[in-house]
Amino acid sequence: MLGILGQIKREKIFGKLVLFNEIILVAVLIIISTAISIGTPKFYSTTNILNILRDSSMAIIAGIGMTMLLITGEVDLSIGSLVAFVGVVTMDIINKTMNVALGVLAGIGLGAVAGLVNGIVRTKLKVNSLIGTIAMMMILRGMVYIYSIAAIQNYHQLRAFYEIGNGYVGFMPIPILIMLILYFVFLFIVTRSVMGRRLYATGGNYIAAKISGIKVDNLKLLTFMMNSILASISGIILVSRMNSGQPNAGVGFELSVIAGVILGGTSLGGGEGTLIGTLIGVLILRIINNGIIILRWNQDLQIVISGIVIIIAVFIDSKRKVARTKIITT
Amino acid sequence: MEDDVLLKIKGVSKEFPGVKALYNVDLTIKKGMVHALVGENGAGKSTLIKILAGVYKRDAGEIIFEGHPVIIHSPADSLSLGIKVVFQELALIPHMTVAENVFLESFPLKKNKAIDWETMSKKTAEILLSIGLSISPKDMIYKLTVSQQQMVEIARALSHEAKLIVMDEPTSALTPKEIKFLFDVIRKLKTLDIGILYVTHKLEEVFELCDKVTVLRDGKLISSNNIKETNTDEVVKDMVGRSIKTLFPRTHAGKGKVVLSVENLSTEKKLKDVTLKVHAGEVFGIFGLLGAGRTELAKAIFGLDTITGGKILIDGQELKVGSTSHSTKMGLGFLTEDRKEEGLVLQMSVAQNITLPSIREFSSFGVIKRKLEAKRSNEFVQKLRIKTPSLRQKVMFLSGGNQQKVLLARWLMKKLKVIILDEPTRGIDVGAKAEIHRLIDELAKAGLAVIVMTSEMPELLGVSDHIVVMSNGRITGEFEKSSATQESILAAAIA
Repeated sequence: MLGILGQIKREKIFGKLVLFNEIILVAVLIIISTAISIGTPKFYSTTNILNILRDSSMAIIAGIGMTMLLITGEVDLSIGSLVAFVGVVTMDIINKTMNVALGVLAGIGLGAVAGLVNGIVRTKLKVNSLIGTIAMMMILRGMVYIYSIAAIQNYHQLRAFYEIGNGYVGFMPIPILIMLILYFVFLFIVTRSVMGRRLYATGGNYIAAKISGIKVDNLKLLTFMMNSILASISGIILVSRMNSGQPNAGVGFELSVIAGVILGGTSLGGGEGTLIGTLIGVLILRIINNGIIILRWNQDLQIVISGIVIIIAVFIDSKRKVARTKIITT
Repeated sequence: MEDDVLLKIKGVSKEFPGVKALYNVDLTIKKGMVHALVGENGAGKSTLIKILAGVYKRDAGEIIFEGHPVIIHSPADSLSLGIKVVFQELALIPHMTVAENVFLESFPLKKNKAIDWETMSKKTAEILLSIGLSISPKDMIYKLTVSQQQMVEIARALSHEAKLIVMDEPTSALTPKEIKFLFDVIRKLKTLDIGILYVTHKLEEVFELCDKVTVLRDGKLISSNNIKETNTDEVVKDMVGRSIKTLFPRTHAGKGKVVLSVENLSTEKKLKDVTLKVHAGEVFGIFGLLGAGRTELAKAIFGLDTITGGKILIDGQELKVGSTSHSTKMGLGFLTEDRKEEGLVLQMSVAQNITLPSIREFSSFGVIKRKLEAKRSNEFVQKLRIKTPSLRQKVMFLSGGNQQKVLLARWLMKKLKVIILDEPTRGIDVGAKAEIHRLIDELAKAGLAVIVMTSEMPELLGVSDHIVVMSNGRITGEFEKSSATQESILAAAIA
């Protein structure tokens, strides 16, 4: 009898492991926030929190796409270069047409094309996405320098353009609003829709998904495009916040986004990951960065700590996997 | 009397979260004997051999090896005692030579600590010769057949002067000829006074080769008998806890019109001019030895592999080349040979795996109706008696037989015209096997064309109405059930 009871108890604990990751992340988030606020009372001011959220919104928006891409078992390292390219092109088009909508459309269109190319390279040319998108990172960065070696200044100082990155609706900064809308739309897609289910199936087992009649390559291509479009929306927010198109913007952006996503529990192997995790993961990294600034530490620590956090996150992830495979093999 | 006892296991238990894998198991293996260990999946066989191999630690009990109690902490411990476990997944390094693999754990060294290649080659050649294997010590592992690689593992055991060799399902990937060779080698090992623990599903092998048979069920020792004092029926009864009267309850249904026709199908690598006509309501058996091209045929029909010629029609309508999504839409289903690699999405739940191809039916405007999905998948879980604690259980935690039923449920739900089952009962236990055979029969009765690809002769003969034999990518024989004999089928398979 005792044996059976023990068994049930263990099963319950194991069942909760699914939520385990998110709970730990929230705990980490709280611990770090508390630690920083002990160091400086400035941390818990409304301004600072809205600042953190506004700065995070770009990485979260791009993180949505990256999460979906990682769930399908792919990755995109070219979004940092894309963000710069989108910024420069958007600024340039707005300068030439005096039309913010056209500039935004051009930026998003550019993202769609970049995603399409990444997708074709992966699904048609069968180039591993790690390699393919590193190549794309170089190509896009080179192209943005060819397009304009100098920063493109904002000639017309259009109000609508300024609002994208700096405006408010009520008390809510517009970038956060854009982020929240996109976040909930994609949260619904990933968790409730047929497409979301297929993302997990494709990344979890490509052949099984294919045999189940899923057009796996088309799905991957579409996910590459969504990822790039989301990244280009981040790029448009960024160009508005910088008030100029900087060809060297977004260096390392892809890595900090991927760091947040991985920290959020999304597996590099595909088939696993949640947008909730991504949200918390990105926020943890951003809060650490914010803490370093408001505690007046050396800012270059930001990069070092992000690196350390990635190693810890992947280490925990691999531990969880080992624990799981042990159970499978019994 | 006790002198010839090699290994004595006393009251060994092992528990995993949620599973009591072994409970108070005793086992005695004597020198120069082949001892069969049988049991359904989940009976505890793999746990027991993994304890012997040092992969797992026992929770309780004693292991006495050559008269001394031993503690096995790691695979290295196990090997140094003289226990060598040959797992199904062979632990060889593909890009090294045979000799390097044989001496992997301890290369012979010269005085100056450099590797003594000459001695290594010479010793390897001697060992290979002693088991009658005609390959060179310098051959690369990846160029060898599975059977030869297995022999290299055995050679490796001999290089360590192993006293006990444990073999886990050694024949699962071998042709009949290779199996015969393996048995010859095992008989040679017996004469060297080596004890062999032979883990298998296949009872005919037990009665051909082994001296003693021990049956495990649900982690407990059920029986341990000398081969001469028992028979197949008794062992099966011990394995499943009940006697199975008919393994293949094929009830004949009339066959209907042609549903699937394959015309002159060829692929670059394997298939040459394959033509088939499969009728509704018929179980169409395709037999072939390893490498005959069965799986390739299934994949080519389904659109997974590219074809170089020919066409495939379902109800007279041609399938788009290389489009699995069109194939499923047309009512074609494919149960792959490799459940885990090509069938299941292991991280997904039972329900999600079942509804994977039919998810559109449970959605409106792309949004999944989760209650309906749960309700419908639950119907299939009940109907197929899939043992799972809940619909939300990840499918990776189910046993092999139940996983296979999940895959069958997946295709039953889809309402197909044709289903291709590639080795539907591979690696699953006797009880689940019988249930799957019953399902095959039901499918055919319901008017589906069921293609069963198998390398197990009893299954083929028991389940099929019509039999096609393949060899080397071609069809080399075609039989009606009434006219098929084991001999004629085998003759065609090796043609």
